[in-house]
Amino acid sequence: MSSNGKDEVERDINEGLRREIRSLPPGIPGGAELGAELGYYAGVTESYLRHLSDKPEKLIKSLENLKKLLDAFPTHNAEDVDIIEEASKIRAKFKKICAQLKIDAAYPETDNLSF
Amino acid sequence: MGKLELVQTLKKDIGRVWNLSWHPKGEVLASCGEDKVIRIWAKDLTGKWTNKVVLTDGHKRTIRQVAWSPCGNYLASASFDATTCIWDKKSGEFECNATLEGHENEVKSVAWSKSGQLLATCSRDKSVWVWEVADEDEYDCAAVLNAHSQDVKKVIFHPERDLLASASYDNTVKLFRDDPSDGDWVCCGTLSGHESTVWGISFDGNGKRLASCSDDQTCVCTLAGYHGRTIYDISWCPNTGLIATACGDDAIRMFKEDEGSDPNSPSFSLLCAVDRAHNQDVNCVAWNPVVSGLLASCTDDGEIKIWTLKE
Repeated sequence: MSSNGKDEVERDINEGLRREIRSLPPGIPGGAELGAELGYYAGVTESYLRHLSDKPEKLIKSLENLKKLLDAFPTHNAEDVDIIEEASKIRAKFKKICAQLKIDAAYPETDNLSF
Repeated sequence: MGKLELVQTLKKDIGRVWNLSWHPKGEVLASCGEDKVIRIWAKDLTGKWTNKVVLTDGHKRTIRQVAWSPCGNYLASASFDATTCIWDKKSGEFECNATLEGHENEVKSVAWSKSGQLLATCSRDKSVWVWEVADEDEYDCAAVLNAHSQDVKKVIFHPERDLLASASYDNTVKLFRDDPSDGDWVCCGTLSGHESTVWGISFDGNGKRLASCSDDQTCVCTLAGYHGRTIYDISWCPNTGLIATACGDDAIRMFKEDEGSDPNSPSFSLLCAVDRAHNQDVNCVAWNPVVSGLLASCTDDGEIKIWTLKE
C-alpha cells in the first residue's frame, strides 16, 4: 500500500469516528428540547389553573385535561409509549387553550426545535 | 340519458376562482378566489345571473372557500392569510363581524354543521379546528385536532348529525365527533383507500354514505378510468342523488347510481361528461340545494358557469 493510500484510509477512519460520535448522543439533547417545551406548557397550564379559578368551566376543563396529559407523559425512556404522538396531542390541547384564552402563547423556541 | 346544458357564463377579470357556495334557499351564489374578494351573484329582473355584491377588505391573501350557514344569514370565508372571516348582513350591508384566528398558515376549507352552532376549519398546518358559536359574533375554539400527518384539504359536516369529515394530502379521510366525557373532539374513524391526496368529499342527502375524490383519479366505490387527471371536487346532489366531479382535465362528469344497486356496495355509471367544460382546471362543482339539476362550476381563468341537467 502506498503511503498515499494509507493516508486516505486513515482519513476515512477519522471521518467515520467523527460521524459516530456526532450520531451517538442526539437522544439526549432531543429529550432535553422536548422536556423544555413540555415544561413550558406545564408552567403556563399550572399558573392559569392557580390564578383563574373564576374562568368559564369549559376553559378549566381544558386546562385540567392538558394537565392530565402532561402528568402522564413519561419522564423515562418508555418504549411502550409513542412519545411523538403524545407530544403532538399535548401541543394540540395547548393550542386550543391559547385560542380559548385569546392569547398568543406559542412556545417561543418552536423554530429552534430539530424534530 | 341526461345532458348538461350551459345556462350562462359569469365572467369577471378576476383570476382563479376557487370555490362556489349556493345559499340554502338556492337563489344566491357566492364565489371566491385569488382576487381576495367574495362576489355574490343573483338573478336580475330579466332572469340573468349578475354580480350583486362584492365583499372586500376581509382577507389579505387568496380566499380558498366560502360557505353559507344553514340559516343563510352568515357567510364564512377561509383564506390563505390564515384567518377565517364570518360575514353577516345585520347592519343592512354585508360586513365581516368576526375573524377566527389560530391556524399557523393557509386555511384551506370551512364548513358549518347542520345546526349552525359549529364551524370547522382546516389548514396546511395539518390541523382541523372546531369552533362553537357562543354569543353574537363570538366563536369559541372547541377543539384542535392533529390527526392528519399532512396538509388538510377539505372539511365537511354530516348533513344531519355533528359528525365531521376531513380529507388530506396524507391520502386519508378522517371522521371526528364530540366526546362528551372530556368535552373535546376525537377522531372516530380513518378511511384509507386512496393512493394519493384526497381533494374533495361529499355526503349523500341523508348522510349514510360519503364520496371522495383524489389525485389518484378515482372516486367513490372506485370509479376508475373515467378521469384523465386529478379530481379536485365532488358534489353529491341531495335532491337527485347524482354525483358531479370537477377534474383537472377541464371536464365535468356526472355519475348516476345504477338501478337496483346495493347501497352497501353501490355501482355507479357515467351519465354524461362535458369535455372542455372550462378552458382550464375545474376547481369546484356545486349542486343547487333547491333547484334540482342546477349546477355551478368555476375555473382558473375566472369563469363561473351555471349548468342545468336536461333529461
